[in-house]
Amino acid sequence: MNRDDTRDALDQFLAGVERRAYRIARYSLGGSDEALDVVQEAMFRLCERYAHRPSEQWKPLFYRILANAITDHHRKTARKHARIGGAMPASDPGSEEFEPSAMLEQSELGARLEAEIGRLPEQQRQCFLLRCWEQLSVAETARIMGISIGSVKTHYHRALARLGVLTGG
Amino acid sequence: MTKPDQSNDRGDSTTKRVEASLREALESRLEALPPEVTQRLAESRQAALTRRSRAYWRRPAVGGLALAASVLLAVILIGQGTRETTPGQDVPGQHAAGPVAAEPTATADLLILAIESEDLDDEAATVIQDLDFMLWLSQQDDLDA
Repeated sequence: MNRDDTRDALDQFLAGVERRAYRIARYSLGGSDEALDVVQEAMFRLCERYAHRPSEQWKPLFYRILANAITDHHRKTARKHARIGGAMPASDPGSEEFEPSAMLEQSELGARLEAEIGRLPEQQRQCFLLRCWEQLSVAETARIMGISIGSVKTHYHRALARLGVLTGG
Repeated sequence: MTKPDQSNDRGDSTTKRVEASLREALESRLEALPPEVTQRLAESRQAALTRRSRAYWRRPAVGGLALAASVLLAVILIGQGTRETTPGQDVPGQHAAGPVAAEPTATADLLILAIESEDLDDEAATVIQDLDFMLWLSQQDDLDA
């Protein structure tokens, strides 16, 4: 691929994942600005450092970078709150979308699901979103998260059991 | 004569139905994203593609590089030590048990510990995370090779 082709392919790839990536970051971080910040960071890193890699590697790379950026943000936030001696703010995964006007447009199941995803432990949440939503394989999810295949299966099973109740499953 | 056990098939189809239902609900939420969020995502994408400067992105400084390298080296050595003591992982030609089974998230735990004990500042921690990512990437290349 020449430079223009690579740019077009990256554009297409990022356009396909950016909204889901924002949601994933939002579920973990709570705030919209913070989520936009880490998604932007992941985009820049992918374009700056890994654009030359085969396009089939972009997805696991992008989500690994995103997961690192989320961890980094949690770390910085914890440090900041430790400095000022206050408690960390509770996660609020979808406050902007929970405004009454927006609520009217959204399904009840979707709203309840998002709230429950926000309450999942971090690894269960990541496993669920990568496996169920991104439809990545167990092995791909394990490689992105840096955990074993067995751990992915355990986290995913627990998350699915908890969230499946919402669908009556 | 016993009947074939169909419970697993039923379980699989139930799981698939639940997954499809959850996926559909999540996808419906994407449509409800506020326009300003969609706009900012598109702007970030274009800025990344054209290598424009980031509006709210800080480059890590290299001030803590020596300390960062020391901590990363410790992480690598700890990781290798863990792998060596795990039965069945050092079989020649079997790469899968190594990088995938190892837990790089231990680096994050170590970072938090170091930061909480005031031994490491944010910039040095960022450098460590970059180095940890490069290590992870090289492990992926080994797996793909």
